Parts: sequence; C-alpha cells; structure tokens
Amino acid sequence: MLFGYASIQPETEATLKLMEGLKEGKLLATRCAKCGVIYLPPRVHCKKCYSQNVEWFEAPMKGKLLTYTQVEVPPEKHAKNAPYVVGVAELGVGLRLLARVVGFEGEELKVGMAVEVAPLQIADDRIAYILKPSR
Amino acid sequence: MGGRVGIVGVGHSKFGKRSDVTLRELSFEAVSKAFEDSRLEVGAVDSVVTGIATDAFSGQIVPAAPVLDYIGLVQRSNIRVEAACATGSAAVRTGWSLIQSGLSEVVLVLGVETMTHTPTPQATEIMAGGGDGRWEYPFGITFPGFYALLANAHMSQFGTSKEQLAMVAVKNHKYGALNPNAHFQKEISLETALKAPTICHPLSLYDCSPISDGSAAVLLASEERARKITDTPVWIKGLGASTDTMLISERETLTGIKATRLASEKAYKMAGVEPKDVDVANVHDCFTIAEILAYEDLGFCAEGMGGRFIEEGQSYIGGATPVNVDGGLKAKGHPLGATGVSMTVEITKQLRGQAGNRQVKGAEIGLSHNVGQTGQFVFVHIYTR
Repeated sequence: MLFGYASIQPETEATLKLMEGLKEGKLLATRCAKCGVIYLPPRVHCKKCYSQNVEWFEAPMKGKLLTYTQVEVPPEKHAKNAPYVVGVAELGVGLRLLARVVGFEGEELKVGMAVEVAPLQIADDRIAYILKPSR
Repeated sequence: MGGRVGIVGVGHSKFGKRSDVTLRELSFEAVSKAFEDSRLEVGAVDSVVTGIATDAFSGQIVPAAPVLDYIGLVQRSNIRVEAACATGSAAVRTGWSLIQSGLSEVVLVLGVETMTHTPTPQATEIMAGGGDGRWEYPFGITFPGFYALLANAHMSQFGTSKEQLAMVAVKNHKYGALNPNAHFQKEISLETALKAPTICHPLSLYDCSPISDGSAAVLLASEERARKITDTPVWIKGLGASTDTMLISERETLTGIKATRLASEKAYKMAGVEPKDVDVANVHDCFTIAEILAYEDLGFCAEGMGGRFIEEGQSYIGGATPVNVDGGLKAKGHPLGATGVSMTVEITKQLRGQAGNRQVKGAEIGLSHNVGQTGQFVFVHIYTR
C-alpha cells in the first residue's frame, strides 16, 4: 500500500503503521515514550529528546479548518485530480494536519468550520487521510 | 572578529527568460560587471561563494564547477551554498563569514539560476518537490499553494483583502518598469491584477513571482582592503538568520513567518538599528502575501496591519519604508540562487545613490530579507554607508 495521491518516497514504519490504522478507520499518531512529545503526522524518532522509543495512539479526528486553498495549477503527477482543495486542520488541542479537503459543496468552505478526518482509499494500492466537513 | 565587511563591487544580469545563455554564460554577465564596478583584477579574489539553489532546473550536477571555470576563478577556495529561494543571501552571509574568520580578504559572491530552460509543467513539479516529500507532496500542495494557505489565514484573521494583495503587485510592477534588469518592465493596473486567472485560491497570476533566469554578483572585502579599493564602500552592519519546521502544519503561526521575526531581531540588534531607521528595504515577495507578511514580521508596521500599509502607500518611495523599489521578485524576477545577491546589489546601489529614477533620496540604512521555501530558511542583512 502507498500513502497519498502520489508519492516520491518509500513507505517506512511511520507510513506503514499509519496506513494500517487508516484501514481500520483510525488516525494514528505517536508519543515519545521518554519525554511525551506528540507527533502528528507520526514520527518514529523524537526530535526533542532523540529517543527512538515511541508509542502509537489514536489521535482525535474532529477539529476545525485553520486555512485552505484550491489548487488550480497542479504539479504534473496530481494533474488528473485538479482542481482540488488542500487545507490545514487543528484536531483536538494543538495537533495539526495538512490534507486534501473533500466532500463539500459550493461556497461551503470557511476558515474555522468544523471538519473531521476520514480515511480514503484512493486506488487499490493507495490510501490517505482526508478532511471533510463535519455534519 | 576584525573590522567590518565592505561591499566593493556589484554586478547584475538582465533577469528574464534567457534562452540566449547557459548557466555559466549567465554567470559571466554579473561577475564581469562586478569586476568592472570595483576596478579589481580577477586575481584579487581569494575565495568564491556560489549560490545555486538546485541542479534540477539546469540538469548540470555540481554546477559550480563549470561556472567557476567559465568565470576564470579556479585554483582558490569555493563553497557552493544552498538554502532554497534564500540561497543568495546564504551566500552573502557565507562570504561575510569567510572574511570575518580571517580565511579570506576578498570574496566573490555569485548567485545564479536558469529556470526557464525547463518547460513550465516540469518546473512546477520541481518546485512542488520543495514541499515535504513524506507528508505534503502526497496531497498535491504546490509552492503557490503554501503561500495561499498563509494568505487565507491572514485574510480571515485580519481582514486583508484581495485588493490589498493586488496593490503589492501594482507597486512592484511600477518600479520594475523603471529597472532595466527587471524580467517585467511594464506597469499593471489594479483591475488587470484582480482579473487574472487563479493559480491557488486566493492567489492569482499577478500575485505570483515569475520563473526567471538571472545572475547577480557582489565583491566583499575586509575593512582594510575595502578602504583601499573604493571611496564608497557599503558596509554590512548586521546579519540575522533563522530556520523553522519543515511541515507548515507544525508552525507556531500561519499568519506570519516566525523565522523572519527571529532573524530580523538578531540583525537589528547587531546593527544597532530599529525597523523605523530603515530607509530602503528589499523583502521576499515571491507572492504578494509574502510582502505583506514581511512588512509585519520585519516591524515596518504592526501585526495584521500589512494590508493597510500597502493601501496607504507606505512602501512606495516617499512612504514610511520604501520596499522593493527595484520591482521585487514579483516584477524583477526570481531566479532562485540569484535573488538574494540581487537584493544586496540593489541596496548597495541605493546607499551609493546610484539607483537612478527609483532612488530613495538620502538613503543611509538598507535592509534585505530573503526567505527560503515557506520560511524554513530566512536571512536578514542590514547595510549602511
């Protein structure tokens, strides 16, 4: 399984575990077992204390849209999906995530609106988390 | 640390679509002008710093080698520097450090990039590769897209308008029209800017700097040497640099560039000046919103007031702080590695009083501000006569 709409890097422990979670409808993040710093998207090395011991946990999936943009001129590998919307959401307290925003209508999108994370099977071999309006 | 570092020669190529020259031929244009300006012989240079942001556009791996050979500056030290769109200012900072360390007395700093030799869709793909390959690229966010995210956040929080963004483009095109080295030498109307097609909502075509080819060069010397070379050296009085998280989602703020705030604090402190003392500035306007963020992050106006600053004309010549009166990245062009060095060239000309019909009268203190990517790298330099 590959992560995202198109990719340029190999899948490693961070994306493989994340994708396993997505298949079960969960958004997985990591917490440093030594100093407690939380990482979303997940990392397997702590950049604060340099520990390589992280715990996986389910991150909150509901939050609000901090900002967004509609991409009209895409990079080549994303051209078939254009135009599309990318946004940054804040989930729970302090966790932020950049993802495609899908499943909205017309002028519905607004900074500050309620959104939630959902898994999306993009193709047989591709999966990602996306943001959609909470209804 | 010894005395100061002086700028003793500057050279600048025509920026634009330069299919008439290769990377090394383009380099020669700026370097030859810098030598002419300083009246120095090539042999006076003991170190070179080469700012080239990426090999991806020119296809030439290790591009500094053919460039150094072509400008006749082999058999001495060279360091090739890279900090994305801030490569040129990183190169100037490196040159300054070489002199202050005592390793060098006279340094040539060259910034150069050819970008239009690659077709635009491929160039967009290359630039999109500047986002995080693990967590951002897979969603198709582009370089204008990142700044569009900042723009929407700023507009939503402070009421900054599309019109105010367009006013930055109108100003920079006005001054670009006066700069014979600018990529675009044509004024535009507010209406034209507002009617242009959208690239990444809310940014449209005239909110974006172009893909350009160009080169710029400066000759730096120790204080002692500088005084012997010229009667009108421009001194680098303060330098500040900072970095920030790769992921835009991990930034402390989406309505400013934190690294600009940190870098400028350091530069102001080292130079012993305050934002209000700056007579002329070149800031990183890769997108119109970036110039508005720079007004705020550099302290030219209060947070959230950047839109009003341009609307009131405060960044025009005659306003509180003239900004990008050479056309900025927006109209002058943005050949990545050349951009930061070009800023140093422009500020030097302003402080020498050689900026012609876009001269800020009596300018004594100048500032350049160069951002790499979306704030991952920031360099601020402050200059004085």
